Amino acid sequence: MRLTRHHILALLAGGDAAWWQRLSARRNPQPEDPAVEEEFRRIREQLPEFRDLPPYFAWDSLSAEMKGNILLGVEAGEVVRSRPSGRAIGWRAGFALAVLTLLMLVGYWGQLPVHVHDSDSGPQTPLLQATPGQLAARHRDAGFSVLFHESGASLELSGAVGGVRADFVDEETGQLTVAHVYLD
Amino acid sequence: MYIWTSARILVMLAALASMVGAQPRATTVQSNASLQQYLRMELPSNSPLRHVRTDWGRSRVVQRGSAASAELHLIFHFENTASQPVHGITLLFRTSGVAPGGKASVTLPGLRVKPGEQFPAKVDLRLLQPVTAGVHPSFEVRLDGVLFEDLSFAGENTLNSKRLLTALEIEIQQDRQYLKQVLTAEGRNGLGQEMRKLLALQAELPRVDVRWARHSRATAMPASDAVQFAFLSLPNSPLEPLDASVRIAGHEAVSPRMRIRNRSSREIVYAELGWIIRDLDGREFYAGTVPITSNKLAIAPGGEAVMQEDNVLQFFELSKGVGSPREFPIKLGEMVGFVSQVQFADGSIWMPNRYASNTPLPMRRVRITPEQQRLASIYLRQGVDALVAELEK
Repeated sequence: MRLTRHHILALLAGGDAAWWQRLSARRNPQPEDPAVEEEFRRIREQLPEFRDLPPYFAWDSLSAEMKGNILLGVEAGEVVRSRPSGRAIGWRAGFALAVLTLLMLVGYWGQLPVHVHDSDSGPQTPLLQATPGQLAARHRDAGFSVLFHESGASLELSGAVGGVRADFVDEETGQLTVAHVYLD
Repeated sequence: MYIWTSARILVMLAALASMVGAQPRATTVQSNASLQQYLRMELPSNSPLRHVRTDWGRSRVVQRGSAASAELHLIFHFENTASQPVHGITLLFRTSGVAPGGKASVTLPGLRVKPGEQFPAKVDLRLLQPVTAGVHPSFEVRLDGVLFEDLSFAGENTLNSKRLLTALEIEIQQDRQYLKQVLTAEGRNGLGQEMRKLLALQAELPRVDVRWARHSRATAMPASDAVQFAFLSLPNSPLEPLDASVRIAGHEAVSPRMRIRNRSSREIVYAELGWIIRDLDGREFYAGTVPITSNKLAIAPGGEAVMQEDNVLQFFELSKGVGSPREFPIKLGEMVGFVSQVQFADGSIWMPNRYASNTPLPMRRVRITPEQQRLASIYLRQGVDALVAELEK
C-alpha cells in the first residue's frame, strides 16, 4: 500500500514512522497547509495525555469480556456452519458387513494348510501308514506321501513288510490306480 | 439405531486384516519355476512314451514354522510312441534329500492308448522336510514299465511292475469280457441289471484291511493250537495246496503253515494267496491277497515245498460312511484260502478266472474288483450307453 503524505505525517507525529520515512521528512521539508500544521501541532501537544490509561480503566475485566465474546462467536459459528455429513448406513448393512468380514476370516483360516504337521512330533522310527487319503512314509518331522481322493467304497488298503498299497478309482479322472509306498 | 459410517467400517476391516496378518501363517509358493526344483523326470531315450508336458495344477510349497511341505498335484501328459496300444504304466518316484529315504510308485492299469495318442497320468505327492535340515528334498521320476496290448512289457521293472501290471490286466480283461458276453446275450437291459447287482453288492460288502507283519503281534491274547484251514479248489491251478494250518488269536492269524505242490510243467517263482474269512458271527469277508512267502520262491515242476514263517496276518473291518473310516478287529472264526496268482520262471502269470463255470461261488460273492467298480461308476454316472462305449474300447 502506498502511503499519502498525510499518512506519513500522522505517523511522524505519533513517533511511529519508519526510519527512512523520518530521514526523508527531514531532508525534504515541504510547505504544508497552515491549517493542517496547526492540527498536527495541537495533537502533538495532547499526545502525552493519552500515553497512560486512565486509572478507572479495568484491563482484566475488558480482557475477560473480549475472550468471552470470541468464544461465544466461535460456538455460534459451529452451530450455523453447514458441513458435509458422513455417509451413514443402517445397522442391517453394518451387520451384513460384519458377517461378511467373519466369513472372510473363516475362509482365510480354512485355506491355511492343515497337513503340514500331522502331529506335533512325528514317529521316532521310520513308519509306513496306509490311511484313506494317503500312503505315507514318516520319520520324525520328515516324510513323503502319495495322496489320493478315492471314490467311496472303491478303496482297498493292504500292507506287507517294507511297503503299503492302495487300490482305488480316482474320483476326478475315473482312472483305476494302484499306489505303493516303500521304505528303503 | 446404530450408525456405521463407511470410514468406521474401513477402519474395522483394516484392524481385522492387521490382526490376521500378525498371525504366524504359512508362506506359500506357487510359481512353477519354484516348484520344478522338487521334481526331476528322467525318461530313457528308447522309452515307448514321450513326455509331452506337466500340468502343475494346485501344486504349492508351504513353509510353516520349521517345516516345509511341497504338495505336488501333477498331471503328466505322455504320448504313446510305440507301435501297439499301451494298456498300463508304472511311474517310480525316488525320494532324494528326505528322511526317511524311500520310494513310491503309481500304477495305471486298464489304459487303452493307441499309437500316437496322448494320455494323462495324474499323481498327487507330498514331501515334508524340516527347513533346518539344510537339504533340498525332491522326487526323481522314472518310468518303471509299460505294458502293451499283447502283454509284452518294456521298462526297468525295478518294482516288479511287469507282474503287477500283467495281473491287473488279466483281471481287467476277465471283467470286461464277462460284461461283453452279458451285453451280447441279454442286451443293454441285461447289462444294466448286471451293473445294478454289482452296485448292490458293493454297498453290502464290508471293507476289510489286512496287514502282514513279521515277528510282531498286536495282541497278548494266547494263540490257539494249530487248526487246519480249507482251500478253495480252483480249476487248472498250477499250485496245489496239500495241507495248511494256522493258529488264531482274536483278529490275528499267526504263523500260517502250508505244504504245496507245483503241478505244472514250469518252475514257479512267485505266488499269492487270497483269503476269505468268516467271523464268529458267520459273516464272510474278502481279506485281500498276500505273497505266499516273503522269501524268494522256486518250486520246480512236480516239486513240493513247505511254507512256514513267523508271520502274523491281522484283519480289520473298516467302517463305512462319511469321514475317515474306523477300524474294528475281526474276530476270526474260520479262514479259507485260494491261490490268487502264480508267476512262472519265464515271467508269464496264471490267475484263476472268476467267471469260469467251475469256479467256486465265494470267489465272486465276496469281492468286487477295482475294474468292476470303475465300470459300475461309469454306469451310475453316465448310464448304460456310456458303459457300452467303454466296453467297446
